[in-house]
Amino acid sequence: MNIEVILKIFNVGLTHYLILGAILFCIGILGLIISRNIIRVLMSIEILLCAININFVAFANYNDINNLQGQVFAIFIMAVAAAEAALGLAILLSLYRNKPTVDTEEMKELKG
Amino acid sequence: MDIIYNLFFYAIAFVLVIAALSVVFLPRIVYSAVSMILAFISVAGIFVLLNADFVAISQIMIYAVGITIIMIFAIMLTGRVSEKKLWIAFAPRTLFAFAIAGVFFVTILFTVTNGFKSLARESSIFSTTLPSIETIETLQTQGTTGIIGKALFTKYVLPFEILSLLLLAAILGAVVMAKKDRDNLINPTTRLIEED
Amino acid sequence: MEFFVENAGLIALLPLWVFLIIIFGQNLFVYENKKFTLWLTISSTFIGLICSSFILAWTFDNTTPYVQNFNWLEAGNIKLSVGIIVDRLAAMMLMVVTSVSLLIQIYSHEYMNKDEGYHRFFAYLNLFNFSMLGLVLSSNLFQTYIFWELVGVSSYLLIGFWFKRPSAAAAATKAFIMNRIGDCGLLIGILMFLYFSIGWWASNSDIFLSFTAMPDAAKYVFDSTNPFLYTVIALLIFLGPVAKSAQFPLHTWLPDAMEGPTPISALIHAATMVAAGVYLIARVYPIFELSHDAMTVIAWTGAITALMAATIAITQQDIKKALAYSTCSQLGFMVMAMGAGAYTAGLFHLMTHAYFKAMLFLCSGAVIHGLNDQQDMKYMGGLRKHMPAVAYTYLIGCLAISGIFLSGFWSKEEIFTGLLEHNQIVLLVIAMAVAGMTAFYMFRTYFLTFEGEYRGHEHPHNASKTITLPLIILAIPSAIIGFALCGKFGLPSFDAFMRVTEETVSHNESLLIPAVSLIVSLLGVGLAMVLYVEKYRNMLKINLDNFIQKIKPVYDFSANLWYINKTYYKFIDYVVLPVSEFMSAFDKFIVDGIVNLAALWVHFCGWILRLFQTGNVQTYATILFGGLIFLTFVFTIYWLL
Repeated sequence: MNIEVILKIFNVGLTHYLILGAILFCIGILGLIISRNIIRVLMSIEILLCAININFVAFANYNDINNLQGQVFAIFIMAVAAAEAALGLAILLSLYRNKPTVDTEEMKELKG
Repeated sequence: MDIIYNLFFYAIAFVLVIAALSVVFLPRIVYSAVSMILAFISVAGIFVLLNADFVAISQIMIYAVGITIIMIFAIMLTGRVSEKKLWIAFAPRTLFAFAIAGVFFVTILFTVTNGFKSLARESSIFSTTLPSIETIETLQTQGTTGIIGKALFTKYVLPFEILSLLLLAAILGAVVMAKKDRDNLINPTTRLIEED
Repeated sequence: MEFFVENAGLIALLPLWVFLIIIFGQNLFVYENKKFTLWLTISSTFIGLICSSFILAWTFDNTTPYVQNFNWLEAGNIKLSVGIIVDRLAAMMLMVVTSVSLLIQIYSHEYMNKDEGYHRFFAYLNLFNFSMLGLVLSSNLFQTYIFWELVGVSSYLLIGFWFKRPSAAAAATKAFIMNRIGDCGLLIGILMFLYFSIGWWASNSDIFLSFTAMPDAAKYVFDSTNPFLYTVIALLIFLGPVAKSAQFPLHTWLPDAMEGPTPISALIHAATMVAAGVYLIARVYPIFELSHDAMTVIAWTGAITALMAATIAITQQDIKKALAYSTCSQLGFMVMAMGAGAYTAGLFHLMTHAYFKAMLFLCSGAVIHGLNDQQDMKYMGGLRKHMPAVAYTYLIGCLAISGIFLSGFWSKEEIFTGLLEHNQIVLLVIAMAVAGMTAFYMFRTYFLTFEGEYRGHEHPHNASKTITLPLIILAIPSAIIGFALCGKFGLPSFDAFMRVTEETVSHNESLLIPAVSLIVSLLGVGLAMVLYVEKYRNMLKINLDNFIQKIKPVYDFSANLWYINKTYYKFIDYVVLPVSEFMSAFDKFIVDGIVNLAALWVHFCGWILRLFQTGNVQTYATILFGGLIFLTFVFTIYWLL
């Protein structure tokens, strides 16, 4: 294990992008589950989707540089994410009208 | 061994991770929204590093602008900024979330590095070399837009059209759900002056 | 004549159909026509009587029984069958049952005419007829048990006929439960017998527990079990007749059964149902014969019953209760005779007793009816002037039962002779004493009811023809049937008729037994005359009340029915009820508790599962992602290996 081999690890390749995507995905899951604010939950969902996009585009770059199908799919994902965020806001507003709070701990009508 | 490339990657990645963590762990929701903007822009930077210029721009347009606006609306319409900070729930699910995230990360790490082997060797299942200089130069002059456009209108034209339908449905749904005066939607009246 | 024998089952089925017609007719049409019910019933019984007489004629010539069986249930190596057997014993019983039934049905028309339950009464009468005739014709022990239970049910329904009276309902329940105790023993005995002989029956061509194969089966069981066990089986089987024929421990239902209408007391509790027990003893006699100890127990049970019932009957004031105890005592005679080995003597007494006891009950019914339901003999007396026909037939009955020249004399004499032949001297002495007491108390009832001055407040009126005609008809066999079948002086012999084997038994032709029994009976009559006819009482200056005061403890012991009823009630209060309370608590807390525990377990599991439903979306998201990550993990491991 000399310096060259160790440095080779840090040479950026597909692996690193995938690890980055994984980190972001985990952070997104974390935010989704442990947040007490509904808006923070929505933001975590967006982070999740961004992580996925990174994965797709990384694969497109390293394995499919001629057709770039990964990037096409990333476009689709972005469109769906936008639609979903809009609807998330609409739901949030409906919830807020019902009970004027954005606390997830308060939204327990279906308990039991 | 492009040092600048690596440097840029690590810098942007670092910022991205910090921003994402801030989204989750900052107490005030507005701070969280701002760091979300930073996170999106960093993701755009990552896309640029990946030769995906069109995707990077659309990332900024859609996420960093559109979705941020949505989140700001959400924050503003639902309570004052100086409300009590709703941060993390201290419930059993928190521990489970950390466990899940940890396990997932380790699993992905394991898979992606082919059992931690590729960290020691140069060659692996997945290629670690950048594409050839010629292709990169072509991409850098012409851009990816053409290729993406060609794919969208030939191979992926059906998902494209369905996506437009999806967006239409999303718009209508959002409008209906967020409207205050729902009764008027079901039984529309054509009155100039609304009498309550 | 074979036609009647082959279709003997019809005799039993006709009353069943009439029962169904009456029941369905009443429930569907609610018809009021009493004549319809009456004539249906009487015609079915009359047809039965005609057929029975033909069957009886057939059995004069044929000694081998006619048996016909149908396969009913088969399970493994147990095959149950239903069928009929027509032999001399069955023919005799058929004659008795149908003739007595017919006369009582004619009588009941007048007696129950003003009762609102007239149709129900006749329906139950038909049900009883069916059960009794079925029991008599049964060819195997299982079928007998079925009809045994049916007869018990009919008895319950008829005792509790006036069910709105609490005492009647209680008496019916008591009768049924006591019979049930006997039936329980009978069933266990039958099952034990079957258990020990199942191999023999399986390899035999005859049907299971058939009466024709009973001697051989009994021999087989006797050889294959130790004597104690065999005696136990025999005594368990005997428990059935103990209950049904009101023998000593299980007799208390019979006096209480007098709550039913008098025709019922005559039919069921004098002539037929209580005779079913004796009939069963006759049928399973091969089983009893092989166990000397069982026979001893049977004989002594009969003796104790006879003695006890006779002593109680002396002090009874209610005429029907006196007659009930008299029945009990005579049944004890029959059982004693059979236990001592005098099989045919017991059956002879059964037949004569059926006729004169039915007649006695019907007479007492006529008296009660004529006095507007007054049953206490304190308020009777001098009724001979008002109801001469009833009085004279009652007198004939009393003479018969006391053993003075009429039919009872001959049958009792056969019993005494049989006891002597089998060297049962002690039993003979007891039997003689009881005969004397019988004469005493029967004539006591006669004198109290029909002689002297009328002590009551009603206006006694004579009975109508419909009531007196059966009485007169019954008086004929009561008077002469004993003499007609005694076998002496060249007359046909019941004894020889019943013995299927042609062995000739030499009879002791001495006149000692008849003379002694006659003297004892006349002594009894004389004592009764002295104590209860005022003319003679005043002549001898006997004060009845003083006399009773002097023997008060004995009198009370008798009048309180030897305190047996009270003992039973105390037993129930202090033993049976606490046990049943315990069992009820056991059922409630343990058995129900186990069931509730199962439900509680479901509740508990539901509670645990409900903990997952927090209503919080993020919890659900946790589970979602958790599942996803778990799958990823599993596939990674799979990929690795």
